[in-house]
Amino acid sequence: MKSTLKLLAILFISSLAFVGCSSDDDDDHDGDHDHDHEEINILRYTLTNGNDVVTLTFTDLDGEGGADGTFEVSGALSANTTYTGALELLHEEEDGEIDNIGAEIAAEQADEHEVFYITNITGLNVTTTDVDEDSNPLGFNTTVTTGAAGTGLLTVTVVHEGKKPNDGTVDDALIGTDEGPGSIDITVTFSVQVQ
Amino acid sequence: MKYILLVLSVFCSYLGYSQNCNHRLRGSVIDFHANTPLEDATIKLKNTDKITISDKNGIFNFEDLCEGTYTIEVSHIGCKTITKTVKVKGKTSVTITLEHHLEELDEVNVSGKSKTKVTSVEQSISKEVIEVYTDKSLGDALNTISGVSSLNTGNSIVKPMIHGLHSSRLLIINNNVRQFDQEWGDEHAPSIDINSGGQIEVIKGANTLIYGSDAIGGLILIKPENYALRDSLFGSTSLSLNSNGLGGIINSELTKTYKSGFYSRLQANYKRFGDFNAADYDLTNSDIESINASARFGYKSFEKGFDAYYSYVNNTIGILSTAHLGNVNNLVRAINTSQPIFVGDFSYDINNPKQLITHHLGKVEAYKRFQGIGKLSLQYDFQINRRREFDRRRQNFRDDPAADFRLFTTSLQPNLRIDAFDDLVVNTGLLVRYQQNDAAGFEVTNISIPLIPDYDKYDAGIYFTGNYSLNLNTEISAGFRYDFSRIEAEKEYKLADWEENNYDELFPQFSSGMVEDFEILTFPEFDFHNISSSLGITRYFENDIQFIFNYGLASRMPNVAELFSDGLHHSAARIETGNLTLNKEVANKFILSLERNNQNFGFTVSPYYKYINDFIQLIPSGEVSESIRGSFVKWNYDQVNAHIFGIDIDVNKKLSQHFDYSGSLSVLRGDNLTEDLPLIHMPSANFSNSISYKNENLNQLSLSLTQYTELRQNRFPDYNFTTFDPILLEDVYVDISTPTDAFTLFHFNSSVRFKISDRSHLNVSFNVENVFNTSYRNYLNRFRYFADDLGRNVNLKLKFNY
Repeated sequence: MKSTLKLLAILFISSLAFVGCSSDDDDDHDGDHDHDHEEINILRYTLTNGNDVVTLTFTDLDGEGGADGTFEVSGALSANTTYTGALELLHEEEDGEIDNIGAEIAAEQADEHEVFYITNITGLNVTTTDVDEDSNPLGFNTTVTTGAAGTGLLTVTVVHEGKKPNDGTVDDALIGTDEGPGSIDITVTFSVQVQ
Repeated sequence: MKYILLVLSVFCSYLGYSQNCNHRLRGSVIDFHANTPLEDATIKLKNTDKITISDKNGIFNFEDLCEGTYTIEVSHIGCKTITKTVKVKGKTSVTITLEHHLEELDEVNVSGKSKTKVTSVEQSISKEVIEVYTDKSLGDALNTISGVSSLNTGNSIVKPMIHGLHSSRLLIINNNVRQFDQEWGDEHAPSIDINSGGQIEVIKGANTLIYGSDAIGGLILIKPENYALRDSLFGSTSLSLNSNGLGGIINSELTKTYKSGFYSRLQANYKRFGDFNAADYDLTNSDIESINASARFGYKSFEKGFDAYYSYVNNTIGILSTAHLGNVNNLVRAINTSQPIFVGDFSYDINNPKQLITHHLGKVEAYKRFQGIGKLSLQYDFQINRRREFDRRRQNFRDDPAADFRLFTTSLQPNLRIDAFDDLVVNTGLLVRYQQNDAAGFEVTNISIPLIPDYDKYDAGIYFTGNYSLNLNTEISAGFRYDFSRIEAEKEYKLADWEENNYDELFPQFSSGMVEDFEILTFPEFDFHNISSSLGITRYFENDIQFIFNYGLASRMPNVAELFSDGLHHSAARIETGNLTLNKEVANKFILSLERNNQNFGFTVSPYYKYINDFIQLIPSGEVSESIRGSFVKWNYDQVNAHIFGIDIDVNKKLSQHFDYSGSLSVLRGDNLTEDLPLIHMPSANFSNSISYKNENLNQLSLSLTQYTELRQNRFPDYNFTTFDPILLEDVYVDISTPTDAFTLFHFNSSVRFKISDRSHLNVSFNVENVFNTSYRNYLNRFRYFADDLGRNVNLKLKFNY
């Protein structure tokens, strides 16, 4: 009985030691990375033609869940006009500090990403003008041409680890790479007016 | 020493002859447990010709003895023979206690028929069947029992289900320790190595109160092997190789037993599979790697003993690549495509998404028997479960787990088994348990709110159960249990969610008032009181027929996922949201069983009915949650009144000297009575038939062919909805409810045994699962939207026993 008690005690102590070890594990992660933000809470697509600037902004500062995001379109696009389009993907902190995740992606992980622009407005065309290091389309910089007046939808979609090059459709990109299928990291649809 | 004593006693008694020989030895023989006299015990005076038997009062007498020391030997049917040295001078009296429970110490031949509880409806899986599933999971092995199915996530994550209920509604008792391994998650399989146990039992009925009050579905008992008290060293090494997944397992175990009562056992295995394949394609990233080990050390004797056990499980489980989705539109694409969107080349690489799980379980149990009372035992145990889940994320976050939980559980359980009465056995005991969850925060995961928060949980319980033999043919059992649970969590909510759910008005006391980064810090605390009871009756009839009735009242507090879950499960594009307003659920369970345990013709017919008040269900809300990543299906927890009823039937029949038939059928129906809908994710009707050939004279050759059919689940709630697809720029229909079609599979098993030496033999078995390479999907597989279930597998097993 005495030896049993002893064993009990030893096991109890060793179990405490286990707990100790495991708590330390969590701390291993600290310091390994500088903690940049993963979550993008602002998407801004700016179309510029001289002084004619139209911004399409999606803002969801509290991230996934919580309050719904808001859509803001600064105005209508002019018909039969060519715009230069620039896409920004940002993380804005509560204190207003902004982390430009889009710039980071374009600089470091361009080959893993591609931006697609999809619209049902007749005559509206979005052409990608930038490329990744493999000379495949990237999509942060675009040229947008408008046709006749009309209204409709414009979707900005970022595919992560998609097939590159592809036939220009999201579906084809989603087939993915050797590692796995592509996934839609961002998809935001704006109501757009051309007049 | 013994020898010297013997010599001495012989010498002394010899000496006695020269003295005056009118001394008397009077004694009584009593049963250790009952403290009652034992009649007809044989008492021998060694080295004399004197022999006698005890009378009905257990009394015996030896007259005309010379003064001296005698060795007496007392024996009785069913008892261990004992010897005792007595000094006789004048009128000497002696009390001899005999123990009547030898059978507990002997090796139990696991036959599949040995029951834990006589009065409960239960079924078991023998070591032989477990060996067939050596490279599979606990859930796969349990699937062979009628009424037991599983909720799968791919093919490696198999969660057992009894009568359609799973997760927190099942108690899994692993080596007498209640398993806590974050069982709240649908995609969390039990962290148990199937090779570590000796026998597995499923208790569908009541009689589970010793283990807990919340076995609404039932109980799974993984029991260690029992050892004989003899000096022996034995073990086995087995190797199993499979064509599907091009992998297998190597398992070794070694057991040493001593006549003195000590025993020890070591067991370890390594399992590795590459990508599994469905009938027509590879299931990329469905790989698994697993390292398991267990050690046992103990001592047992009739009066006292202890058992120390430790087990370690380490699983790395790849999650099917094609099932790892972005938003609901990806899900719709997957549902509308018959082939997986992604099929890669075969490999052994385990990429993200994956789960890394380790589980430590340790326990020490000690017991002592007290004369005239029974057996007092005390168990201390602890478990540490660490679960890390990795998703496919952007480069900088690839090595950060999306979830990292460490669950620590420890408990202390004293139990007193009172078996002093003839017809009545009473078990009573206490439980105190502490549990702590440590969820890694943003620094580790880069996700601001963990799926499950940090919490501390305290449990205390007390129970009484009794088993009474009314007469030779009838046994009755009854039990009562009370549990108190307290949970204290520390959780952040998105402020908007907190307010939208009205929690700011319902639970202002939980709020710290601190809001940072749109998140409010809260300290939810809940107390629950659970009462449960059980009643069981067994009656034996002629011709091996037995009738069992069980009633059980079980209550379960909401688990941490049901209360607090908050976040995204990528594999189903779903956001699961817990609900702080949930009450406990209370079930009334009735189950009958008519059984005939006979090799020539046996059967079990077991109907059941469960009424569950405030049944907690997780269902798609029909709404989506919009985010910058697109829409996700919202799954919410709610409570309804429900009933589940059905019948399990098993039949076995000896067809001829070598041929046997066995078959089983399970039919179940579950209804959401509050909304007059079928319950979600209920197993469909299934049946199996098996013909086997056995020949003892041909190296114990065994061949069997099994057919298994699962019908389509036609009773399902329709939670389909339409949502906007931003790629197609139009609304699409999200069919997440429609079940899969019926399927039939055939399996072939064979084995032979070769004797190598007197003490060793080799078992060779050759098996084919899904013989016709049928492609099928299972309604209860969470990946049914994405890919088919497993195709054909050819398996070769070698087991060397020594």
